[in-house]
Parts: sequence; C-alpha cells; structure tokens
Amino acid sequence: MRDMSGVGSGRIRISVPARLAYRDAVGALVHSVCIQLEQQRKARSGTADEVLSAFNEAFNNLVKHGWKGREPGGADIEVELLPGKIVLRLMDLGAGFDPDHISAPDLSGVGSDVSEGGYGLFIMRSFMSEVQYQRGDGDQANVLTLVRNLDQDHGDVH
Amino acid sequence: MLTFTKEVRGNVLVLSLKGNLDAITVPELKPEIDNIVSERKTAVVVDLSGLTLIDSSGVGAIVSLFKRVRALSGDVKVAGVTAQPKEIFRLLRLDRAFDIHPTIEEAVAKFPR
Repeated sequence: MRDMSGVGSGRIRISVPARLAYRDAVGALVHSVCIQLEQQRKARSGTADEVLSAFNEAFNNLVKHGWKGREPGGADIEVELLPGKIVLRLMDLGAGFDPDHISAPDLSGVGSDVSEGGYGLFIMRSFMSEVQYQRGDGDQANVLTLVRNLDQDHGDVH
Repeated sequence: MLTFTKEVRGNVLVLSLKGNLDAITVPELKPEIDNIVSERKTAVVVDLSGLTLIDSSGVGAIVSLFKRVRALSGDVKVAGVTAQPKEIFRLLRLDRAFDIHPTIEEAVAKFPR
C-alpha cells in the first residue's frame, strides 16, 4: 500500500466478507478519500456522495446477486488514486453478473407506473465515468471496476 | 442506521425517516409500510429531511409505499429531500414522479381537509 496522505496517489486494498454489514465500513473509506479530494479542490463538491452512491450499489449487487442462495465468501475492494481519477475495484468469486445484459430502467413512469427497481446499475453508470466488468473463471475473481474522472460533471448518463 | 417516527396531523399520516434508507435498513421499514397499507392510510407524507443517504433499495421502498397507497385511491407526498437523497431523486427523475415539497407543513397542506 502506498501513501495516500495528502491524497496524491496510492492504493488501498481491503478484504471483507461479502455481507451487507461490511459495506458501510468500506464505504466510509471511499467517502473519506473523496472528501479529501474535494477539500483539496481536486474534485468538485458532491463527488464524495456520488462515488459513495455508486460504490454502495456495486457492493449491494455483489452481495445480493453474487452469493444468492450460497454462504457468502469474501470480497476484495481496491481504492486507487491515479492522476485525475479515482478507481474502485470490487473483486469476488461469486456468481457474478454481466452489466452489459442489464437494460436501463424506464425513467418516464409517473404515478403508478414508476418502477420500484432496476436503478442500481443506472446509478453506477451515471455517477461514474466508466463501469467495466470482467467475469472470473475458476479461481480467477470477477472484477467490477468503477472509474471516476475527477473533472466529470455530475449525473452524466453513460 | 435508520430511525422512523409516525405522527398524525389532521387526516394526514406523517412518516419521518432519519439516517440511511438502503439495502441494509429497508427490511426494518417494510413492516411499517405494510402497517400503513393495512390500516388503509390514504393521505401520507414521507418526511425525508433527516435522511442522509438513500440507495436503489431505499428508493424501491418509497416507490412501493407510493404505489400501494395509490392503489387505495390515496396519495403520498414527499417533504424535505436534501443532499444525497435529492441528487438520487433528481437522477432517477423521481422529482417529477412524486409530489415533493420543501417542508412537512407544505406537503400536509396539499391534502384536502
């Protein structure tokens, strides 16, 4: 792990059980790093909330879909700062999912036509600059990579 | 962590949520939503002024309440959305789908007496 004091560049890797109860501990780290970037004016205000929102959805998916019906395994989370971007990687050996086969929710609903679900991936894609998924094979982990360019406008839909 | 309180103002039920409404805490709220529906409350204000974080599961819970009360020919209005929840509502265009007001008082006043 390299030094992240001053939030210049560096990488932190954390291993946790793939359970929702551990999400907020990792999320607090993600939020804290982004808050420092905001305070140093390397990211605009609101970045921390948006990146945390995307991370939460990613972790929720990992837990709910990756280990459905099975005893949860572990998840490795990487938070990496690179010039002009923050990169989150969520790695696990769960069942995985392919975000390319998940359609965007219909946001045109009003009244009783408003959708109750299907927003998670949309939130990730909207708040992050890139969302990439690499399905693992055997002992090779699934890797969900979320990249946020620090000059990204908020709420962009990709 | 999520805490919630219920208060009756005239013929309107005000459900105030504080903390996080997400995949972790939604199961705590679901029985309360079931109660509101089973008691056939048809005028409901959801006060989100104390809500600090919401995720897609939390949104799903609020939409579920909205649709179930609507199915009773009632209505749900939302009050006090700020910060991260406001950003999520904007992104998901729920600010157009819901009747949203700055304060509880303004939301309550929109129901017929």
